[in-house]
Amino acid sequence: MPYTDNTFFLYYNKSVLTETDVASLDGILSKCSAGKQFAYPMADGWYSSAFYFGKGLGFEVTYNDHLAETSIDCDFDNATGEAVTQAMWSYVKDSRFKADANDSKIAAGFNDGSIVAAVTGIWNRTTIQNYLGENFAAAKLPTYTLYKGTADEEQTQLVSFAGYKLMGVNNYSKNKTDAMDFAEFYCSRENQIKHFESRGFVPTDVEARADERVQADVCAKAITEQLKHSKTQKSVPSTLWIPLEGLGNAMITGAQSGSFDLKTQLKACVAAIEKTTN
Amino acid sequence: MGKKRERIKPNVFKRLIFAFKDGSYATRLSFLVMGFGQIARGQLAKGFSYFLFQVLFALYMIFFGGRYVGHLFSGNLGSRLSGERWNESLQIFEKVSGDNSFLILLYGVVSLVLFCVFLTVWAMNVFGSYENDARLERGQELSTFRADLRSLINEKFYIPLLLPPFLGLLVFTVMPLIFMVLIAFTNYDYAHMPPGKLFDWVGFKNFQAMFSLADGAGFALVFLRVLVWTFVWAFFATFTNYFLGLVIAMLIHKKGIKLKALWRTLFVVAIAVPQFVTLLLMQKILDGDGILNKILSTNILWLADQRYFSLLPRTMIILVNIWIGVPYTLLMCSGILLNVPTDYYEAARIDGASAPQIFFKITLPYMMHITAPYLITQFVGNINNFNVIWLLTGGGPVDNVYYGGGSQAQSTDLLVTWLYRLTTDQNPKYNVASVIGIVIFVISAALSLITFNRASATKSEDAFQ
Repeated sequence: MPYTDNTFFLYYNKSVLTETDVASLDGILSKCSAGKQFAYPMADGWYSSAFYFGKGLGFEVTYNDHLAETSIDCDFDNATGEAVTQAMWSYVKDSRFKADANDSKIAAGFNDGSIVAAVTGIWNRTTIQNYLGENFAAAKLPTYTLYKGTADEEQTQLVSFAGYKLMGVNNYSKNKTDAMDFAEFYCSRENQIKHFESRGFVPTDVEARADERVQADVCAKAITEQLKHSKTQKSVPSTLWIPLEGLGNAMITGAQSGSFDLKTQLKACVAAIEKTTN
Repeated sequence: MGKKRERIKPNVFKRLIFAFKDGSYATRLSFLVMGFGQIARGQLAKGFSYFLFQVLFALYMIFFGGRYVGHLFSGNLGSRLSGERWNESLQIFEKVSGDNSFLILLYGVVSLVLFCVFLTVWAMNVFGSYENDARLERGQELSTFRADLRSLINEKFYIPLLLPPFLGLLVFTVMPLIFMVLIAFTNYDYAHMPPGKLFDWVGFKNFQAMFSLADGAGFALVFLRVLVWTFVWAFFATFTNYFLGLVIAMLIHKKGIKLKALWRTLFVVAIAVPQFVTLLLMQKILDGDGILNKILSTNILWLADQRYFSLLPRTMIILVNIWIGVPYTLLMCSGILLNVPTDYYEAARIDGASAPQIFFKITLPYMMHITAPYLITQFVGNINNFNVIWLLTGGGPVDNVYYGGGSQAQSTDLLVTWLYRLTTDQNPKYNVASVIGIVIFVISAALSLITFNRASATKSEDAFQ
């Protein structure tokens, strides 16, 4: 049974960035510097795929009756995909863009002020709110620039993965009915609101969301906005994460020397994603 | 039939045939009914226990084990899938369990091992009966049950002493080993996970996938790369530690250095911190945002730079391993250096040899001779050195170009860390991991046997010049 959303959005420091800045990635970066960065976990496939989904690229998985993947089709490496990867690479190269971020680095960065905006999920909300205090603000993901510097330059919205956290019951458990009762209790409407009040987890129950406390919350607003530009996390190939990690890492490493073999890396990444072992 | 048998016994099968041909009718009947030979001669207790054992084993096989052994050889590890059934009273779906391939394989292996134990006891029964024949021939009395028990406590005490460890070895080492090896011939992975799903025999398909290219479906190249790095790592890890330990030991050992104990203690303090903690700390220090980069004002990715086959992470791993390993080799070399016979040095000094000459012609050959077995065991041990790699890089930066292909290997993986990842991944592949395990076993066994031969060949200590 679901009890909260599982998606990511933008947290930012209100005193440095305004609402118009955070509408686009370039806007954010214009207010950043090498000492005040924007953090985005590029080496994590869950986040870096947002660039591709923004342009409508994706994957197709066929399953057999045993629910094993028999074939995976990923079009991240067609012409549009290459352009998207080129855009990602140009951002990673930027010294104001912190690409090798993870949860602990983002928290530490907000703490000492070296990060003014970051993309992460609801689970870090309390930590970041503690560090930013009144400067705490959240918004949906920004847009990024595709085909920069050419005639086709356009702004593409980052499209996040959207899912939800749920509580499940083990089919083999001895006290199955009791376990199911507990799950129902935990995910009930009142408890979702209580959960929201104590930890800030935005509820999934529709009526709980209509509660005014939830409506007023800035993260709930950001999530509701972001869910309009999201891709349901369903039928995701199990091979998606590691190759994207490799691609992100190659970009981050390449940023040191300034060279990144885009075509080879992208082809190898997609080949690894499409590899089924059945 | 009355001739004395030689002291050196021929192998078991020959002895069985001999017992059959040469034995009395009682011995021959013991082939079918265990204990008959003993009962017919009046050794009732012993004979009856053999017979009881046979009956129990037969019951076990009929009611339990035989089925599973049949599965093992029939080419099918279960055929009933589990399903669901609506339970009206509880208002939930209840699982109806089907065949569990894992348990079928396990019970099959257990039954096979029990069968081997049975064969051993059966052979003991036959030889016991034959021994009775021989004794009767010579006109000796047959031993009573009480006398047998007493001999087990006296001259044959090694049997009750060794039996528990042997059984423990059988149950906790041999049986699991056979089971794991058999997994390599199945398709037991995340898509075929009991109890929900079944897995089946696939013959040598996993080995084909590992060792051939198969038009891109196999990952022989990845395997070779991991194998090469495993050996390179083991070589550098062993020898850098050894030579640095030796050099530092020699420096401390030099005449004229004061406070030898203090220097030795300082260098050994590095092992006061447990290896685990040191490695985790090093990982944080060498991170892209870690202390080292802050001090050097750079942002080099010491443990994540995958260019040039991850050259930088690989070098850093070897260097960190020096921090961890040198104290041990330092202590060992210190000890050995103190024992080098001084007459060699005096003779060399009289002959006017220079310091490098003394090192290369006396110290080094002596040290290598003494520590050669140690070096080889360290090498074999480093092939499986899991901690250093896993805690520093977790297998290292993902490299899609050279380590892709669905193998789940990463660029600083050893064979053993690759195996670990295959079993703990979200989608584990136990069959592939088992193949890797077999490869590791073959390598370690081959190298260990070479060590064994070397150690027994170089028995004398002063035959090194």
